[in-house]
Order: sequence, then C-alpha cells, then structure tokens
Amino acid sequence: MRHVEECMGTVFSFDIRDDDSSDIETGLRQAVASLHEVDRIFSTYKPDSDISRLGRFEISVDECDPLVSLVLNIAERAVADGAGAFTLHPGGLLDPSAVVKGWAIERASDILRAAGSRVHLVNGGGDIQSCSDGSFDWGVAIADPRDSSRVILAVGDPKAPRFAVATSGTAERGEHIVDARGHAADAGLLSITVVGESLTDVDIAATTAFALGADARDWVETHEGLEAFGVLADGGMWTTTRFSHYVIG
Amino acid sequence: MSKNPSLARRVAPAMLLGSAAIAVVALFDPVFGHGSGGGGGNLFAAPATSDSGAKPGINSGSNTSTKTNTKSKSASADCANGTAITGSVIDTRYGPVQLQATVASGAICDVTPLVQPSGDGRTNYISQQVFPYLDKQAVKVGIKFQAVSGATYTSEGYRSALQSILDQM
Repeated sequence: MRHVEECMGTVFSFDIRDDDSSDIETGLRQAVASLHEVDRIFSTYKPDSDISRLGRFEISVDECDPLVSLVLNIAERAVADGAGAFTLHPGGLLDPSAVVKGWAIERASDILRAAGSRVHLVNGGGDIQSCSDGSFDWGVAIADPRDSSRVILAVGDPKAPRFAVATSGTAERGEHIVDARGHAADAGLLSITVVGESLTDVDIAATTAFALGADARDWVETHEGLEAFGVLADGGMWTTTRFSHYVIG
Repeated sequence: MSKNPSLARRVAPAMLLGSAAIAVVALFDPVFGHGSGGGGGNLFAAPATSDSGAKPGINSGSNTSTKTNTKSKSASADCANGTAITGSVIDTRYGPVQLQATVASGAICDVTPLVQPSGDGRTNYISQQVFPYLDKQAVKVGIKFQAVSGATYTSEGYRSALQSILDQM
C-alpha cells in the first residue's frame, strides 16, 4: 500500500509492504491524520497554532495540547546534549521545528505498527523511519547534496526491526540551520546523514551535528547507536567508525 | 530545484523520469572514488575499483544492442519481466542524456543509455566509463532502495526528486 501526503510544506511518502487489510488502511488514515494534527499544533507558520501562541506568551504550556510538553521535553534534552549547538529559539523565537518533523514521522510509524503493520517505511521530506519484521530489507539512498536528483550510496540494517535515516544540509531549503554557539555552521560541510533506530534521535543528531560543523564527527562518535556520514564542499566525505556497517550494495 | 514552479508542474512527468535517469548515473559516477581519502576508509573506492578492470567501451552515439549480454544472470531473469521506463532527454553537466530504466521487483534492475554525452575530456570519460559500468553494475549490484534521504525538500522540490519516482514503483 502506498500513500503520498503533502503536509508541513513538504511531502510524506508511505510505503507499506504488509498484506492489505482494513486494519492497515485505518492505521494509514490515522498516521496521515497525526501529521496534520502535528502541523496544526506546531506550525510556526500558523499564527493560531499552539506553538505560535505559546511563543507570544498568550498561553502557557499547560493550556497547550499535551503533545507540546512532550515535544518540549524532547527538545530540552536535545539542547542539553547539543554541545551548545542546538537551540529551541533558532530565529530568536520559540521554534522546536528541528525536533518536530523527525518525531512526527516516527510517531506516524508507531501508529502504523499499533495498527498491525510490521513492514513499512515513512519518508517525510527526506527523513526516514522504517520498520521490518525481517521479511523485507529496506534500503535508503542518500542524495548528493550537490544535486539532489543524484544519490551517493544506500544504507540499511536488515537485522534491526527499526531503522531511521536523517540528513541535514543546506541543499533545498537554504541555509536554515543555525549554530546556537553563534558562529556560522562550517561552510565546508554540505550535508550530514545520521542513521540509527529512532528518527526522533537521529533527526536531532543530524541537525546538531550539522550545526557543530567541524566538530560533528567527534560528537556523533560519542553517541552509541548513531553513525554518521558527512559530505564536504571540496568533494571529500567522512564517516564515523561503524557507518560502513550500514552501507548496502 | 523549483526555479520555475509552473514549468516544473507542466513537465513533471518528464522530470520524474529524468531525475531517475540522473540518479542512476550518480550511483556509478567514478567521482565517488575521490572521497576515499577523507578518512572513511575505502568505502567509496570499493565500487569504482571493483569495475576498473572491465571497460566494455561503447561507441558514443550507438544504441544499446551491444550491451544486453553483460547482464548478470539472476537479475536478468527478474528483469526480463520488468517494466521499461524511458526517460526524456535531459541536459546534464556532461551533455544530453536519455536513459531507459527497467524496473522489476520494485528496484531499477537495468539501465540502457539511449542518448549519452560524447566529446572531450570529462564528458568522454563519463560516456566511456560510467555508462558501461552502469550497464554492467546496475544489474549485478542493483542497489535496491525504496527511499531517498536528503536535506528537506519542499513540496515543489518533491516533484523533481527521486523519491517521487520511487513512490510510483
């Protein structure tokens, strides 16, 4: 079963390999609805979203949807772990967007699993959460940051029930990642891909690592269960110690 | 990616095929070998060197009939029942390219250049090395992927992203 949904200014692709059933169909509908729910609550482009109102101090966290405090807790952990590079206020205003999308995609995958799906992949604008019972091996190609219609290599983890891939870079939306330490993100870095189990963690790590620039590789090395791959403007590439373990093909 | 949204929309089907064609070229671009010195071990050198001994060499401008026997056995069985997708002619930095991809079992299993760059230097290098390599290795390696990870694309960018063709496979 396939589904493509436009939401949050990007496109979410669902690739579900379980046998079709009404349960899975219902799960897909709920997963899609969950994305729009997240957009409603967390969009900084919608003046009346909970997160916009919270940012203007019009309401308190307690008055927001319960998902807000959940996400803010995740974001605070990301800030604490981010070596000063991860911020909740990238443009000076409250904006947990760097946490929301990865978390929302993983949540959509969780909803599908709860509905009985055992083999699926959700790709939200280039960030991926997959899930497999071993009957199907997912492969995720990594786009060349110099030309996103080209791919550099593919990654996967046949042994893992869940596999997540996130890439941070400047390729499509302009240089939207800021380094909260105050200096510009390393200009030599075009993109960083992080792989792991949970897209919430992997997406935060990719954003943090990209903002850390030259310190990215060392930072990822200190995080068990995460591996990274960097592409540099001069054509160079680097990987963390065990990244090659996930390269397929 | 979306400098001209209205144009992008009009030519979307062509672009979908076009981006798939480019992406397949990218898989086997020998430029990857350059990254191997960056500290990640020989990860990127491996695919390029594994093919260095075999360069079937095709005449630029000729068509595809000479190369069908380079396919590996296991994949071609699958591929024989595959669906051919012919891309539109697209301008790449190497010159005009038109590829025909065969899709079987949800993966690109064969690629045939219908139009390929010819000329000097880099262009020639690509046409002599990448296409033969691609034709041979795409079948054998057949790197199966169902999704593409990259810096967040916009809704408009999705139309020309490789993910959009994967979503139709």
